[in-house]
Amino acid sequence: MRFPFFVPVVESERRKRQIAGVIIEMFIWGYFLIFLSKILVFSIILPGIEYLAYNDPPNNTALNIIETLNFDSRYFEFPWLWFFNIMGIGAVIGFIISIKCKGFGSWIASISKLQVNNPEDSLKLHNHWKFARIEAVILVIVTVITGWVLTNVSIAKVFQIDGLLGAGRLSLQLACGIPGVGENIGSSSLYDAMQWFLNLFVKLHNAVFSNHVDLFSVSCQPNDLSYFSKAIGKLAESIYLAFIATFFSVPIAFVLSFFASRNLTRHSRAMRLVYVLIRSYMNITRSIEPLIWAILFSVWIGIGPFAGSLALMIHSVSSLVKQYSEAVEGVEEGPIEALQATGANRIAVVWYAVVPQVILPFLAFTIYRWDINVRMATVIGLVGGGGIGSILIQEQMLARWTQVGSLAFLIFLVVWCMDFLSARIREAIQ
Amino acid sequence: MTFQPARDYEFILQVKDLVKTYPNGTKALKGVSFNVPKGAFLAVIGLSGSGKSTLLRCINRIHEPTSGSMIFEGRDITHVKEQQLREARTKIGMVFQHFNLVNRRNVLNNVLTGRLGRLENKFLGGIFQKWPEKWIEEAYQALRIVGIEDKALIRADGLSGGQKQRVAIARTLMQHPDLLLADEPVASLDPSTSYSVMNYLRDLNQKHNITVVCNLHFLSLVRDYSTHVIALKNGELVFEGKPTDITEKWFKDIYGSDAREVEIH
Repeated sequence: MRFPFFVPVVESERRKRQIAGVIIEMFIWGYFLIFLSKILVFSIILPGIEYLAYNDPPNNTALNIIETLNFDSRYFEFPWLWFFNIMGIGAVIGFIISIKCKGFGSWIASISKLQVNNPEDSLKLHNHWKFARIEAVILVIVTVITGWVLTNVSIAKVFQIDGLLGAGRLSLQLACGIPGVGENIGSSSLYDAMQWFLNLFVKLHNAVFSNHVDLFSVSCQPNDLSYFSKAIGKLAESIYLAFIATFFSVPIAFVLSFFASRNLTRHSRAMRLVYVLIRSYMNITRSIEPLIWAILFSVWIGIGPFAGSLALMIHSVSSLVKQYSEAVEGVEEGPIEALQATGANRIAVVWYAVVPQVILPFLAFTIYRWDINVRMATVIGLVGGGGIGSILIQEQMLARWTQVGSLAFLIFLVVWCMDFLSARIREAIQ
Repeated sequence: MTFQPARDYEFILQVKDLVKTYPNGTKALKGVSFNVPKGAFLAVIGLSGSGKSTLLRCINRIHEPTSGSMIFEGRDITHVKEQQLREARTKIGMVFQHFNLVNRRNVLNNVLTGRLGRLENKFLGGIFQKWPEKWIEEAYQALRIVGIEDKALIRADGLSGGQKQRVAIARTLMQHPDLLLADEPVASLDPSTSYSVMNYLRDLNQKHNITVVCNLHFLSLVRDYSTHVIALKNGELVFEGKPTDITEKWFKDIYGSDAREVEIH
């Protein structure tokens, strides 16, 4: 089966895509082979045989295999040399396959978007892409299995009684921090109801299993109100910290986003370069967590909310640029064409044709970012960024879960208000 | 075959061997040459996908032509730099099938954007300037010409299709164009609105002396309004002449042998 010829658009362009397709195909097959060997053989099959071999009673064939191979999963490490060799073999297979027919790699390299010379070839092409689809499905399955193995997914751990008891105790104490939970309404309180509900699970466990455990019976000791007044002061600090970070990142992100969107930077090489530069700057700053930025800034500026807000700002700018520029890339081309046709300069075209279209999504993203920043501000406090996080970490270190519960409740209140507010604002400007 | 212009005729636009190949390999235009006499109402006909829209977009270089040349008012605008291209564009108006108004702005603002080409390039392309009073007056005047002055302060997405197209015409009027490119201006309108929009275009052509190049689908409109016709088929020019020259044979040639003419009333 020979691959159909394409309309020779721009020869170099087509060749570039084909080479990219072959390289991706080679990587995919390398990945397949590495999965087969490292994950399937050494992380699933051999440990399985090993389990059988040392089981009680031991399985002789399994023991034989394990002893001949001298395999021990506790000390086994996959050698890098094997890794490269297998990758190489995979690459060769991928190369041969991509000479024979086109697979997923070529599809990714968007050869599928090219036109074919002969209409009959498009039928042939369809079959080729069928192969690519199968490859894609296999790729997803392989990745899921690998992920399952690498992250030690274990359903059994989820239903362990000791873990469940610990989590139950912790959540009871956290709930106790929320004002009003311990107050009696009639004969019982919300806290009692929750305890009763959790005890249902304990009773279920006791009914099924022989290792009986005690029911939850801890009384609720709520915080007094003076604790809340202290916490609210810190909470305000967090909200404003988040607000400042968002506020100053918006204008920067607004300007940068137009340079970081593909459809507005297509026309010249210089703009393309600016696009690449901004995108890479963004990706670098975005891939470093705000937590790390906060550590950096608290060393630089000193512990406090300002360091926290700078850390959030760095992160907000890059996230906003990404979201904004995606909105810009999604605008209708029509008005842009219309204004270009009037002879307007590029800045005017952006201002009069693009900006009115993106102002709403921009606002929505901004409010969402503020919302994220408020939540993030609590985390920033853990490493010296100020705000409610700084007391949250203290309470957590002291295992004062009731206080932690109160703080979490306050944060929830703020996030809820933010959600309500943002919905209202968006409705108003539409 | 070319037009037989009168001796004192001048061509406002000359297109030579225009070729456009899209990056995905589609050959939209395969060497199209024609001339547009000054004051003409030139209709471009052809099947969907025959390259009509691409042709218009290549003329003002919204799409960059692959090869060939366009001479507009005696100047070659095929390879000029952006500054001169913008100057040329201010003289070429354009009307679109889907109107291409900015929906979130009001009608007056949309009309005023027609003047953006004359915006003085002060700071950041002059985007923070207020519109000059004189322009606003002119915008109202343009709206009066197309008969929707009363809608000036309504947001553009609150208008009907025909009204939107009239706003778009008012927008090009603000440019004071010498040449108007109309890309299927009535394709998404109902028959009676189509006629009213076409009447406005004819007014521009006859009263304001604007040359019009118009993509059309309906031959009845072509016969009623145009003075010259060219036809495209698969990116090639297959017919050039007067609207009265389109015979049954030509029609079959342009639209395929099993096509039947549809009238619009």
